[in-house]
Amino acid sequence: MPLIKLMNVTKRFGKITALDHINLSIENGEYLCILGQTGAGKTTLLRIIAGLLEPDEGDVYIEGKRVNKVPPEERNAVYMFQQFALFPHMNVWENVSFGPVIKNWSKDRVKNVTSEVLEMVRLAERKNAFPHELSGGMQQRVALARGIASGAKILLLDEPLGALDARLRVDLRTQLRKLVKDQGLTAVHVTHDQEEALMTADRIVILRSGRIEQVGTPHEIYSKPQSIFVTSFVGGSNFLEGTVVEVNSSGSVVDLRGGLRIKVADTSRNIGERVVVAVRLEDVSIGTMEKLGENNLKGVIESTVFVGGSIEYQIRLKNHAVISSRILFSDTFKDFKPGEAVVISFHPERCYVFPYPRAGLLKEIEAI
Amino acid sequence: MPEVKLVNVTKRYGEILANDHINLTIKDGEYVSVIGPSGCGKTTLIKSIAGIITPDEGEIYIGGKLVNNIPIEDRSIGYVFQNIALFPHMTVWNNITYGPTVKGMVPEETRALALEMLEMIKLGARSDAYPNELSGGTQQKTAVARALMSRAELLLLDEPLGALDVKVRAELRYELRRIVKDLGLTALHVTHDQEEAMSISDRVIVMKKGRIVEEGAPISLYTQPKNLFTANFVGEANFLTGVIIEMAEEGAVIEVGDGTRLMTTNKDRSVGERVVIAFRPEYATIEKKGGTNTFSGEIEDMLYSGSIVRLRVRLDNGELIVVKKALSLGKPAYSAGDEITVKVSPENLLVYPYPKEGLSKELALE
Repeated sequence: MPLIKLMNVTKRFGKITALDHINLSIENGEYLCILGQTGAGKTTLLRIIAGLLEPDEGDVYIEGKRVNKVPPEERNAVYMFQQFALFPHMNVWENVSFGPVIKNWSKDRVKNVTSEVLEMVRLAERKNAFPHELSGGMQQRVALARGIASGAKILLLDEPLGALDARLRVDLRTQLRKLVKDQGLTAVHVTHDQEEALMTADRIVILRSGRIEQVGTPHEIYSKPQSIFVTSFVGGSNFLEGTVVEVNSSGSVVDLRGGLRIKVADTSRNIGERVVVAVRLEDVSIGTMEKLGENNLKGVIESTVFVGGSIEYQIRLKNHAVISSRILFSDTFKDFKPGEAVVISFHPERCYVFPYPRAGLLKEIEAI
Repeated sequence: MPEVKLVNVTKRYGEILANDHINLTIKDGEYVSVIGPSGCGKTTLIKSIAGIITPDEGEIYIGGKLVNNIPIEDRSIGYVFQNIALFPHMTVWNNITYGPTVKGMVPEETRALALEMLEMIKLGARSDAYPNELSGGTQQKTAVARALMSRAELLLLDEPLGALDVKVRAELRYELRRIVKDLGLTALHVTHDQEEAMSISDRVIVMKKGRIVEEGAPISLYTQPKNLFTANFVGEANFLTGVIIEMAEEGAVIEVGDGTRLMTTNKDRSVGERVVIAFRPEYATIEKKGGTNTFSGEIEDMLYSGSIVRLRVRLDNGELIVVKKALSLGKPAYSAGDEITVKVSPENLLVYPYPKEGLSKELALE
């Protein structure tokens, strides 16, 4: 039996459908990330599970029990806001033990639980500090400790690392997952940061305009994206427009603009069909040899950007299309300079082929 | 000629030194970013240049002119901050023409400049839209256009992308650089996101506790950071402590515990000195057998993020290091529990004196 189950959950705000018939099951002990852009409905979904919002349609079940009318405090779930709200006049210890104290747990139990969770978030030494004396990351850990000390088995985390510096976020996200797993909790974590989701989740739900676009393990989402939107949203990709000109048992051939032809492993499309071929930046290799692998295309390096740990190249092809490639820094790294003539290559297995979208390609991939 | 020069700029809040004798020159036409953990003083710095904060000591020059006593509106700067502050009841067009109109700019001139700015941010077709009809990224581009309507040549960007989604942020940062370079502006950009700073700047300044700890071109900060804090702050790194046992001709030979010896190319240290070695996880290679500059250990776990896998390796001497690899087609060649040998070439090992207050304190982000 899933721990949390949503059936046809719909929520409207005026004319806007924030959630549109959401069906989702979350298993006990799972770390689930809900990934989507601003306005996708992520927070609404989380607040419905928490009981802070009631769905207009559909049902929410926790441990097999329908909870639509059950208030938040009786759901065995704790909701953590984006802007963590600690009591400013209470020290760390008082903040964390607040829940257990008002629940009238015995003194010993309160003490044990509080010390244990503070140990867990590595803040035992700062138990007498007040929130304003702590850094943002520490305050966030106190908020987390307070949530866990309440005894709730379900953590509902709304952009839990959103208010922190980028570098600190990277450190804390792995700790967050470890904490949840070590304690046998279940976490639903909302984020717009795809890397955060890929690094922490057992499973990712991609939400777009109130609907689930895809659900899968990080690996599935990344290597088997089911739509142009998902391919674009998770990881950077090149999108090439073309027409299928050949389909055989080992793959298909796509004619790109300007007469360039590429091989793709996909065989699901028909001859004459207009398609979009997506190739991830890191799947594009660059060399100076005539033939690098499969799909060798000649081009000229147009620009390079250093992104810390890797370099991104923009390569202008013979048909004037620009393809980007991202190369991880390493011992064998070779640098290319703008103006240099190169050959790029990408494997047919690493080409994702989609029917050309009715509303146009830009609508599917535009972020800004 | 908006060269910006700061001489001994100091600002205190009670006992806290937010800016501690900052000396900095931003060249005309340069795109400079300031990064550092929360509370390092980067916002105080940009606000002092803008004229929002008055320094307690030191001088600020813009275009060779001392501006300490010149109010913000007379400094000829464009200022954009994190919270997009467009007038909600005005269209894009009215938002960007408001300032010049109030200041009495000739209407034809205002119109021409506004058209140019809308062209620049590729928003010509949406000039009648209200802010709430636009995405956050487009609103922020409008804010940049509005800031530039004063014909300012110095653009100050205070976490301009901080309120936006990661994906939008990554695209908009290139737009920002393009606008600055196309218009020949000088830009100072404050951010907590080191990747953002690395990818758009000509030069990056790293601050910590009110001081500039290091500055340089992005790639040199990443590959040759001069101090430990920078090495950790601008990207992932492994840190190992050791002792110099020999100063060979090629460089220092360092023992890192358990008898493992590493060759480095560092020539600045001396025998017996306690040091910290740093290396980036992507510079480590996995070898079939041992040899010079190799460690052996066991893969503790593997963390995937898209096309990249991070192998956490427990070395035989007990230390934990991370090795980063690009995933290739087919099944991964390793799995958790495997015994492997890791190699890092001497030129990729960075060597630092062991910090007086300990390693973790030196690397602390909070």
